[in-house]
Amino acid sequence: MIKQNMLKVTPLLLVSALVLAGCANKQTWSPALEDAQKTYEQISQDPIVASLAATELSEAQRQLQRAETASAEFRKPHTINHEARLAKIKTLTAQQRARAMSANHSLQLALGTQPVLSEQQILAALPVEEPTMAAALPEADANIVAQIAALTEQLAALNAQVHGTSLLSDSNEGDASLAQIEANNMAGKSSDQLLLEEPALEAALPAPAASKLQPTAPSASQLEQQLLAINAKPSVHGMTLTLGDRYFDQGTARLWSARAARHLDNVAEILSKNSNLILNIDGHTDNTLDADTSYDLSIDRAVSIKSALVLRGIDESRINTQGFGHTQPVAANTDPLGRLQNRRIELIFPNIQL
Amino acid sequence: MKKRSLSSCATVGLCLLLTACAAPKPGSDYQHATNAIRAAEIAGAERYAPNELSVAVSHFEKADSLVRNNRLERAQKLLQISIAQADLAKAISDAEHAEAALQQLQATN
Repeated sequence: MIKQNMLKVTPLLLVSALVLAGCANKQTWSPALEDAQKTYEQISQDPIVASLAATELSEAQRQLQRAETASAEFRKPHTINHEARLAKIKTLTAQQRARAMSANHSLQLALGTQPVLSEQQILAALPVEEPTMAAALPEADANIVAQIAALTEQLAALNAQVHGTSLLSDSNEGDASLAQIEANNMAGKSSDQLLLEEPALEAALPAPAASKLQPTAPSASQLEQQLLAINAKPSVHGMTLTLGDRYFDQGTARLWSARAARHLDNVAEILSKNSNLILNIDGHTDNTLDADTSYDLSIDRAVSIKSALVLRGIDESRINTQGFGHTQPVAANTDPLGRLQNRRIELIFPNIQL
Repeated sequence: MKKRSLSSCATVGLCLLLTACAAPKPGSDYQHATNAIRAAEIAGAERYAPNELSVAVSHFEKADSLVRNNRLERAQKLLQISIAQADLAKAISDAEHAEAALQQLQATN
């Protein structure tokens, strides 16, 4: 009897397990949500929007989270689409709001009246040049390649002269080469002298070209240039790259990897190329949370960044993390913009002297 | 007799209250959408953001008819879109207006 019941129940259990397993892997894909995410991703990168329309952008972010939650909870497609559509419209509104604020500010300045934006807002909204390593290197490479090409041409010319001399010494033929020999003779240079000049020319290769030919560890100044290229700034602690809290889910340590990808890739590239380099990651918050929660959030965010770098192949022993909560503000916590500046992660390269 | 009629009235009132609580309340969104569209129109959306304003108005009108048919949940969603579109239309209009004024000022100087 029991055996019969078991036989009846087992297929049911199997089917249930399969259904549950299927649900666990299922993701509700919504083109509207993807579109909203892309729009937010693109617009939130703009420092003008982030600074001048911070409230609207936060509202758009909250709306996007609602859409993502609806998707994660397998809600009906039209519900997900509705939430995603609202998120996209709100993001576009933030963009237009920033545009209006900026234009109004310029208008007030042109009219000679009191500007609508504070100096702090303007500084925060100033376009920050963030050239990537990929963008910075081709330019340097182009210079090096040009130098190498010029030197190779000179070498080729010298070789031609040397060969020309030896051939003509046998045959005494060829007007052009003869002319070259005459020129060399007039300059008082023998073929032996020219041969001797080759190593001297190689030794005279400029440093970047030499390093390009034989890869070596970059000097401190080169590394500093690389760090400046990824927008790191010198500070008392070392070269520091500051990431704002827009790279994290609001109030949590969940890293929006796609948003921070460019910075993380750049930092990982520098760390992997410079094996002696270590990195300190310091987390900071504003004072809206109590001390303990702030501390926890700041350390968790620092660890999130560390994890992302470890995933990019960096040895975890080279990365130190610290959380400071709201004990080290860089701006007043009295206004939203100041609090925005205080919520940050600092990536510090303390030992650039190699 | 009087007691009985009072009791009936209380029961009916309670039922109405419970019904009202159970259904979505598009009332505030309705008012909000009206205000948002009005604000966009004042900002010059008919000139600067006609498409966005048109979407806001059409969603509002559709929501209005749904409210009359007691399809409140769907109406509420349309009103939310209408509000967001009207806000966007206003923001575009503000930006366009300020930029046009700035250009005009620069042209005269």
